[in-house]
Amino acid sequence: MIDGPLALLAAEESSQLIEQETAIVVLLAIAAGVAFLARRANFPFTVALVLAGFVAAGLGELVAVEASADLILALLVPPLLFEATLNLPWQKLRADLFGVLTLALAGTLFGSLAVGTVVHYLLDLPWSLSFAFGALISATDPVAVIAFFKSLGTPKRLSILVEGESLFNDAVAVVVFGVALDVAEGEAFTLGGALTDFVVVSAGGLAVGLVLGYVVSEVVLANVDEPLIETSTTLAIAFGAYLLAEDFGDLIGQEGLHFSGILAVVAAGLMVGYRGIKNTSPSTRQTLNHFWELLTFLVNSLVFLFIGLTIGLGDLVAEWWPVLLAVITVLTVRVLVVYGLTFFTDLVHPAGRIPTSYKHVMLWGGLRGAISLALALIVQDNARLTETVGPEAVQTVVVMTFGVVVFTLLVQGLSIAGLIRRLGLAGRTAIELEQQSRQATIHTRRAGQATVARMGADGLIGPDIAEALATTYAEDVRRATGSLQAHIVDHPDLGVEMLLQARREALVAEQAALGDIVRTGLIEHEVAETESVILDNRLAALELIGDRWVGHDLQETIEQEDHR
Amino acid sequence: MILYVSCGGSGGHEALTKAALLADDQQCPIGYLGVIDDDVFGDVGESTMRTIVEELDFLFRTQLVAVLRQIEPGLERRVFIRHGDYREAIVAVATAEEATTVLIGAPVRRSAEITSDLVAHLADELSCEIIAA
Repeated sequence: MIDGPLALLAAEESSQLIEQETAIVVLLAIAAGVAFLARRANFPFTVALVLAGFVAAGLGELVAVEASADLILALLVPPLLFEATLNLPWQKLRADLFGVLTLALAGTLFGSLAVGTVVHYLLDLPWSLSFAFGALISATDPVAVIAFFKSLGTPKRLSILVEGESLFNDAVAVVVFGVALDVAEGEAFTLGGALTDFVVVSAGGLAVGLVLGYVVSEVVLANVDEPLIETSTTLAIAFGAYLLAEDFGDLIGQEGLHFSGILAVVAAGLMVGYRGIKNTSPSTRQTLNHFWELLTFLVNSLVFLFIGLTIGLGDLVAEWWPVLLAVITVLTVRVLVVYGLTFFTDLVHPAGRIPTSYKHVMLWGGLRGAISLALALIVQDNARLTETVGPEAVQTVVVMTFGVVVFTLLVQGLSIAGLIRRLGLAGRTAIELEQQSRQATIHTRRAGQATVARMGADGLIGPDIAEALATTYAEDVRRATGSLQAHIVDHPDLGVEMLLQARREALVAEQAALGDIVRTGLIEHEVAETESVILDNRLAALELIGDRWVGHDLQETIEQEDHR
Repeated sequence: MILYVSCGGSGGHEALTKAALLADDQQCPIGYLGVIDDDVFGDVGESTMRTIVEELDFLFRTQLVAVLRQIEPGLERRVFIRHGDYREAIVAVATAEEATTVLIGAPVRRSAEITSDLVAHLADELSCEIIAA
């Protein structure tokens, strides 16, 4: 038994833990309630969370979780980035990699310099701190926008462009921010040194992520067929890649050496998504999907609630001038980055031309979120920086960041769906949704039918009940199938989309079958590897056909709009 | 042969059915010509393009089977996939296969002006009937 001061300390720690746990439970309960209401009201979930965060801030101790930079960057951001990259089709990203990297790299560098220059001259902030602000505010957050893309059925390519830019510009922004912050803290600046830092931190992060992703894909996912173990491994790599990259110097005894944790997570996610997932069985894929869907729901909920909880609306009103200036500057620079750089990429790579309507969405969809908030908190909590540049300058940067985050999430976040519809990019029509609904009915009824048949065959239910259920299910399936057929007759053009859908499912089934015969030892791993690549290419080709052949009508419409 | 031509798009069911009905009437083979536009697929690598051609072939064959199933399943059917200039591709295949009718399904370009240009061009080059769906 522990007595005296130690017992007091232990009791205090335990009490803090209970407080934190209570706060998390309350926040998750709020998130669940907000999710329910937002869905009912057809209101953007992430925006609703931010608004709920503003309100919940009044609950005081009940929600007293300190949203520190470490909490956001090391705990909340890695799973979000990993999940996003895991589901980002590499083949499609590769087709637009030039545009994505140009926007992420040149866009973030230019954005950091341009925003930094404006706030330096207009608000008289130190150069280095101004550039730090320029960098932290260049990191776009696609979560809210991607949710709209999914619900509105926008072209997949637009989604890839927005998400791809965001994933890579997060990393670039963090690296540039780090360099600017070091200088702001008083370190000497040389262009060569900054470039070397940039290359080492970025390349190191990429290397760590790629190696870890490869090892997990080829060692664990290829050889273990246990959904829970494989899913746990993906969770471990999401955090492990971040930590290993950030603490790399400590591990090899080189104090001060660190790589980009964010880039490491992005690279690991891409590698596992590209190489690892095809090595998994269908049941593992299902477990992975469910697990990551739940985790990102929870983490996103916390992130957007934290944004609402952390940002004091009173501060934004009190310091309205720098906030207004920051919003106008950030929007203006975004205009230059999106239209200027895509004009350049269109010139250099005409085959990958980005339609003008996509550019409008990329401009207005450049919301700021968790990364900007986390980096602003680093500025806020940095005592050395405060000492060097003064508390007023630090406060201005923090308030400007909060202002831009709130503006983009509330104003742009609430209007982006309208813009997408207005530009004619909401591709999924009511007819297609109706088709999916009828397909879902058939699929679910058949699953029920199969289960009932199995239970009857296994003797788990009486034969009379089994037969009655089988008959009822058969009637339901017949009715649902007839309803789908009628829908197709009424809308014959749905046939092409359904053909692609069916072919895609069939190829995925072929891949799963290949995995099965490798696991049973029927064929050698090398043979499976070759066949798997062929199937993978077929799926990629099908995606291209869907986008560029079948989607040709939409593309042409967009291009014609451009010419007008 | 009734040659149905597509250069992409999600529609075409009605036009393909029309082509199948014509083929059934004339009891001749039906051809499905897909012309891959280099402006759209020009950046794709050689091996990916090979796979795209194979997949398009699979999809077009399936579409033909689906349409003919309701009309005349026994009708001979062929799929052609070509790259590059759609005018040259259509003329080359129609000439080689001695097509009696060319039916332009999904428009090469939406603009009616360009489609009518194409029809006029094909009428000059080919002796068969040209129909723009």
